[in-house]
Amino acid sequence: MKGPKLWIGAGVVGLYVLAAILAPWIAPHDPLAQDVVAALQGPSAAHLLGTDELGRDQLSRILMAARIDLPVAALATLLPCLLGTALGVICGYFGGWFDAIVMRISDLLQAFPMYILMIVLVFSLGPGVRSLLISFTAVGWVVYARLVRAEVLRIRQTEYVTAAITAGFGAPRVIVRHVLPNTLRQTLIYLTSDLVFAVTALAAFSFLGFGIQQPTPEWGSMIAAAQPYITTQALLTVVPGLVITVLALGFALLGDALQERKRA
Amino acid sequence: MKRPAITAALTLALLASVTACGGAGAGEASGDSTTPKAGGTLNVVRSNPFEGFELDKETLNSSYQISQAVIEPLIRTTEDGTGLEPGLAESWEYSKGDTVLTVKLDADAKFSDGKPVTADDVAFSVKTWQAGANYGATYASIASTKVVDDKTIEMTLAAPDTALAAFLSWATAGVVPEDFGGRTAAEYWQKPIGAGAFTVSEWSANGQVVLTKNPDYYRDGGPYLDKVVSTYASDPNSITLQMRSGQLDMADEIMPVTAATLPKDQVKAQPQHLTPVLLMNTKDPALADVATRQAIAYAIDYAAISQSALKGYGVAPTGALPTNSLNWAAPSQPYFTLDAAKSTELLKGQAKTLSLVYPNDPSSTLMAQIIQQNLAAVGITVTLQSADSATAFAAESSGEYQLGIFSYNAISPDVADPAWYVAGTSTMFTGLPADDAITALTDYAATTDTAKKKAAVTKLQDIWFEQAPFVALAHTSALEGQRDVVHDAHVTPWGTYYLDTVWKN
Repeated sequence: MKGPKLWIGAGVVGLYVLAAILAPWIAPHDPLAQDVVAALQGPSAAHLLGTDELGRDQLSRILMAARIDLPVAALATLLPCLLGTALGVICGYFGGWFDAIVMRISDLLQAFPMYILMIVLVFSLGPGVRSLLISFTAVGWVVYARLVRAEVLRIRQTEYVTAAITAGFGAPRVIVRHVLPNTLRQTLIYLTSDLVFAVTALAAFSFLGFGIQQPTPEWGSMIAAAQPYITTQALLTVVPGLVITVLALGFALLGDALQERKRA
Repeated sequence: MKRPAITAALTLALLASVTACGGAGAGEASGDSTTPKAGGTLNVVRSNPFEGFELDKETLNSSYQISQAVIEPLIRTTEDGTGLEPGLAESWEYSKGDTVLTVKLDADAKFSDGKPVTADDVAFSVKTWQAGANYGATYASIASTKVVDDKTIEMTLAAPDTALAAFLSWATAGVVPEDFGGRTAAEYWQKPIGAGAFTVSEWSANGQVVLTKNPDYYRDGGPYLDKVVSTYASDPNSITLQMRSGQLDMADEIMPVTAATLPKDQVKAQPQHLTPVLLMNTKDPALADVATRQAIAYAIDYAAISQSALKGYGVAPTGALPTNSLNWAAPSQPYFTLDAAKSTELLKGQAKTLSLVYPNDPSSTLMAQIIQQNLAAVGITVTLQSADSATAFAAESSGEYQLGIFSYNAISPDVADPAWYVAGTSTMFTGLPADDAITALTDYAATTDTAKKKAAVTKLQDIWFEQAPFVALAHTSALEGQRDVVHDAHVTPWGTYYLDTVWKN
């Protein structure tokens, strides 16, 4: 079962990445071009997925949204990963008061419901990509820090690390050459599953109006904008919803496959 | 085998029709849509919370709608909302150069506890209205009151004010018993007694408001309904589904997007006072030049706004003020229309970047995007800033914005009502001095001559056209979801209706 999961997951994610790269060339219409006379039309040869409330081509907007959602989701995962990994390594390797302070802060952050904390942050910073990334990073580093710290504590006891320290190598060299590379696998596996959260959370924030704003095409805000038409033009909400679901599924399969490989 | 089946069907149909005729003749439930039928419960949904019965604290139609059914105002408006008619005040008359308004009360008018409505109650009510922080200024022109007899009161005005009668039809001019019937103000507003068609059984801001028929109501005929149950739902889909399933009889103040999802025969539309506008902050350096503001007004595609954002329930504007109000008059020049060439010429090649704050309801969101695209076509880049309605209003009313989408309304028939709102809010938060507008409004209030009143309105329209501190985006329709079992709910141009005339079959 390892094979199919990996290939399906990678295939799905690869397809989305490809769509994001090629969107400006394959999108049949300008995703921002309004044509109110053609608003809320069903699928047709001219508009394969129909048009939205301002007559914009839904397929073009979905394709162009990939250029926003994918990079923002990747950054929303990568930034907390980098911060958490750096803090985890320092805490795990050096311990002491710095470790105690960082871990208590992480306890504090984990005591709050994650979504609520993120909403409060985005609300106080104002909607937009910058606020989203700050909020994801401020809350998301905790798991990475704990994960890496635990790995570093284990690795630090290994003979090869003891040997490196005994040989007189400095802490930066030991960390970069011997400790960090051995934590990466675990981090990468978590990062893949964290992407699932990032994709869905990003859409949720935009749906709630805290994320990327109209008229920029973004899957979550497209669902929100189409919500009043759910009883008459269901496709306007169903298709972006499916697009998010399939991408999240792709990342989930990829994460599962990597996890299973590690166990094997 | 076919013939007996057809015959049986025809016989059943005939029997059914005969039974129906017989039923109608016996005066039972008939489905007749012209003869009012007493009884039943009206299930209505409101799109906004109910703010409570304290009249001065009410700001939403959803609140006015409920409170006026309990604490009836002194004067009523006509069914179409374009005139005034007797209510608790059987008659009213200006004298002494329009500086005294004499009001005679209906002889049968009673509060729901059975006590008669007297001139002393009205005098106390006037003091209550004037003490209000929000609406007190509206009644400030009443310098003093004099109780002539139990049913007659004279209001002496500080200056001639012929628009006052219209303001006495506002829901905020509800008549309360003297000294709140011996209770404290807080106790009274929690469970008020009024002379309206209904009494309060229970209420909560975000939940149900249950009103029960007032058996002592003074007007002949109504109320017909035994009970009114008002629930709150802001989600358009929920309203649509409840209307379609028959759980609701009426849906108040539905949005155009909701109306677009209901069967056509369940949507009642009529031109309304609510006017969406694009505010332009004249205090902002980027918008200080009147030519820039006019350029923006000429760049907007008003037809697209009516068609898309209002789903066809609106028309291109013909002036800054809502058209179907008493004494409305057009500006002396044609109002703004889409004219990209003129807009470009007025801008003189200046590229600008502006921000636009708007409430995040579906209609405003669409308007903002249309305006953004329209202004991009003439070289103005617009950054959109959506916010919940309270935050957007806070930004606009404090002058912390460049462009803003806002809607203003009137709650009485007279055009002076919305005009005073504009003038009294520093030209609707745009910072344009309102001295000229106030002079025109004073001229308006000082005369009973319709031609002179209309001349004053044209002057107002011209000021707001030439200075372009804001531009009306459309003249819209008041929309009400209404099933065919409901009758005689006459929605006024400001979106409310009297519940005492409503009946169900």
